[in-house]
Amino acid sequence: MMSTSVAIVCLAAVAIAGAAFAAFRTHVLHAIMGLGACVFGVAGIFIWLGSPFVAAMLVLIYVGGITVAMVFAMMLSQSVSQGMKTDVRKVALAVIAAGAFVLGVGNLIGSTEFASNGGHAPAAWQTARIGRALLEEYNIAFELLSVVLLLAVIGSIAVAAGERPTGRRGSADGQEGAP
Amino acid sequence: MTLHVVLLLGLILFALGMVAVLSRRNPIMVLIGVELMMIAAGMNFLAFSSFVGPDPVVGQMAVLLLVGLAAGETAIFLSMMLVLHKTRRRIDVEELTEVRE
Repeated sequence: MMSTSVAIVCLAAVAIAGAAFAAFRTHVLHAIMGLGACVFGVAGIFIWLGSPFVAAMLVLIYVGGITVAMVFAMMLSQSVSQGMKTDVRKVALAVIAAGAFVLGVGNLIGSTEFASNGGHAPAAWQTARIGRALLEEYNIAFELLSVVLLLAVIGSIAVAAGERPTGRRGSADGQEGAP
Repeated sequence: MTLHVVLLLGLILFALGMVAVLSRRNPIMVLIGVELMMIAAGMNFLAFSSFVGPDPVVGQMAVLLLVGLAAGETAIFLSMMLVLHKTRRRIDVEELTEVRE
């Protein structure tokens, strides 16, 4: 039990340190690496909560997908990779606002007694149950999410490609018309 | 008690994401802040379904859907940023005010 709580404290420290790195560093690459570290800490918490499958998905999608996409976007555009001057006054105001939020919600959390369900049986956490739920109760949400992802990919390709296809067609027409 | 610890961790992560969203001028930093907030929300879903809810599948489904949405959002956001970089060399969140009027 003792070693478990030590592990939880370490994971929470990794997550908080990564998030603080992401929130306060001016260099973009450092912030992205902070986000990655934070994801690893949170994935450890997920495993402790009982769901290794969701933890693996979190690491795969965030570290393997989102972080890498951010690094690519950073490398493609020069102006993004160079850190912009941060306004100290703005940071102070943001910290004050977030601090007030933490105080308010922290008080609420501390003063609330949550009903306990007494813990789930290990069988309730089986990955097979997630697969069954995806295809039965949550079928519509699953299909909707896949449509949203498809539209996001098509939309981002269309946005990033911009005016180029029509321009190319115009020049192709011009070449055809020339001879 | 353990539920409170996880909720407090989620609260801290959410607040750090909030600081990044509110104070940064670089769009990638704003995106990182949004992602931090989404991770914190997902952790709360899983914590509640682990300690309070009757069925842990519900919380796991919520986290999976949330992560999928975050991936789509990142794709759209980054492509918009590339277009902004092509049309104007410098991307500053505070200078993007054309749609406001």
